[in-house]
Amino acid sequence: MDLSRKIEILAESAKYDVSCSSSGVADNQRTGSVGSTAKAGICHSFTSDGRCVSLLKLLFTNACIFDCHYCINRKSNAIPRATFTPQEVADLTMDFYMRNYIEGLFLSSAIIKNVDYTSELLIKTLKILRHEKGFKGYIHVKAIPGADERLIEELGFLADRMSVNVELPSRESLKLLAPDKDPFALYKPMKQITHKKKELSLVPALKRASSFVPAGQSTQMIIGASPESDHSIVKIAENLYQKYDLKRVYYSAYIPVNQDSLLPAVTTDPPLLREHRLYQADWLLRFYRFSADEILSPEKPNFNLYLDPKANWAVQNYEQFPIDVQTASYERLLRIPGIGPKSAQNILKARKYYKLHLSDLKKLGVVVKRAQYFISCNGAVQAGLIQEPEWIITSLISSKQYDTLKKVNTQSRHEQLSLFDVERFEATKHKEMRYVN
Amino acid sequence: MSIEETNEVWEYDGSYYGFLTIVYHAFKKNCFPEMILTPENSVETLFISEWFETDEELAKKIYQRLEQRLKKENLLFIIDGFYCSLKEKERCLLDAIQIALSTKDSLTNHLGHPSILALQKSLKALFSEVHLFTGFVRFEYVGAFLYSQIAPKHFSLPYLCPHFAQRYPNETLMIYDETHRLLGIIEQAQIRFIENTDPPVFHAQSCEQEVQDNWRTFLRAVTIEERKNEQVQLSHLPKRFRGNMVDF
Repeated sequence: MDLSRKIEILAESAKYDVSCSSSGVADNQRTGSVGSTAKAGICHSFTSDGRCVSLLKLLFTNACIFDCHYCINRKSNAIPRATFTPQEVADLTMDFYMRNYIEGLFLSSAIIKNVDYTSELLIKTLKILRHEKGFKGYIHVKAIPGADERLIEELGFLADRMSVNVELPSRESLKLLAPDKDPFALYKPMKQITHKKKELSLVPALKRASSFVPAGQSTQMIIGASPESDHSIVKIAENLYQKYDLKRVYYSAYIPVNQDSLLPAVTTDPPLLREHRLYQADWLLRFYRFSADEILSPEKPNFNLYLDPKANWAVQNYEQFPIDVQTASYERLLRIPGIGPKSAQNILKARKYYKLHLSDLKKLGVVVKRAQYFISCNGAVQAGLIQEPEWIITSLISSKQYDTLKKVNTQSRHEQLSLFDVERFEATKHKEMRYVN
Repeated sequence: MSIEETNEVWEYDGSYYGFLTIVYHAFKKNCFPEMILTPENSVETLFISEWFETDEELAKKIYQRLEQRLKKENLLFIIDGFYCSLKEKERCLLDAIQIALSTKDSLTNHLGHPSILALQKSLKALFSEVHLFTGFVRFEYVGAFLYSQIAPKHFSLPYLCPHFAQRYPNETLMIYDETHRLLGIIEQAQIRFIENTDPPVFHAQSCEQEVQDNWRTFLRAVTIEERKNEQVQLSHLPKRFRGNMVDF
């Protein structure tokens, strides 16, 4: 089989793996003669589905011995199969890297023969790249759950980032949909990586032989293939960030690829809006200092699909507003919808020597049309605004935005959190009733 | 130090040393003009301007003086500010210098001043373009060295070259900026520039076609049809970047 055909098959098989970050390692200490890592991730292209391409994302092989119900590569599927050689993957990576098409390699694999054999193949590929080609660039590799601990460790010394896919957000779903996978084996390498990193961080930098997973580890969950609520997913993510010090948790809207009675029908649309809300909640956890229980609760376990989680929190806790931007702390500023970490920092800098006026906020990066309902400036609030949570909800979503959200929402009505009367909201929107603005 | 704001219009040749000469005169006369023009934008206005001839020696002295008096990060802010594409940047820069001389704090903490805010925004646009180009530049082998052509909106190439010098420390590279007719040459991590030059002409290598085809095959294969959203693709990768990319 020629190389181009292998790329076609094995890139296609890897396309559902979500991973776009390409760095997180500044001043890479690896030895080598070509390549570097940048602190901020670099996107090299964008596919027509709008997702960024920063890494050469490949499956080493798609000839799998497992039969997971949700996976396109399950052994019972009749699809074309291919396997790269370690040399082919290394050459292709260098070809693309030298022309600046990619920032590095993302290498995953189906299970060929057994877990240890698969891990050895991945190690061989990475050794060619690091030792023969002198490649110092970014490599993200998938740890194979169940593989020997020594192999996982060896991979960790060769890669920048490692990840183990949680796949499904609960043990029950895993048992049902991935019968060949041991749910306990999934968390084992994650734990091992965390421990090893901690252990090595105690060794003085000069005495460390080489860096172990310097960009940390990440994981991925499939959303919509199993019945877990949004609250339980956000809780798991919070636990993973705290317990295993994960850099990223990725969420992947399930795209039905297999006809299976245990899974949504193949005609079901992927829950892209739900995935989007999960990423927004994830940002709230990582950059806005929110806790999972502030975002959702067991009583209201699913996202309001018409309102982003931060605005949702703000209208539900309206008694805490308005917040005065001239005096509020950074943490308080971050709680205001329409203000992100950058604009909050800008506000702190700008108010140091000058008295801010509401009209200055737009220039400082604040999304005023969202923030105006929640802020005051030196005691002054925007004139003409009716400060009432329900009215604010109506004002935050334009009718065009509402129609778009409705189209992409693939969840049924009972699955959603209903913060407000949807019918009444719809009627208001379509009559184009406006208060003041 | 109170500086008089006048309604004069000054003009200079648009060069870096020319600007430093203007700085000298502004502080010597203790007055800031209302407008500072260069030959590029002077045709757009009918105001009568006073011409200031570039004095290289004086400019160097002013630079040394600024180096002594200003915080390192503030000097860098002002130099970077000179290279961004901001309308009336010279006037904003004079304000920035005056503020920097009167404070021990960082200029970026003075975002409440309109000139500093305008400069910071413009720098953000410049650095954002540089960041995007770190990913969107496409090289091809021409003999033993790598060549690329870009069409940036801002004066990005000098900021872009250090990234590639670090990425390919043992290679020879050339990047040509069509907009500013500037050629950047990186040889074993050493950077130099040739100004006001035409793009070099090369013959494409046969092996390049195969690598480019493989890349396009890869891009097609990783696309998920069910998630197709060309609008998002367009907003992340606007058409102005696509001209020199082999992806399309």
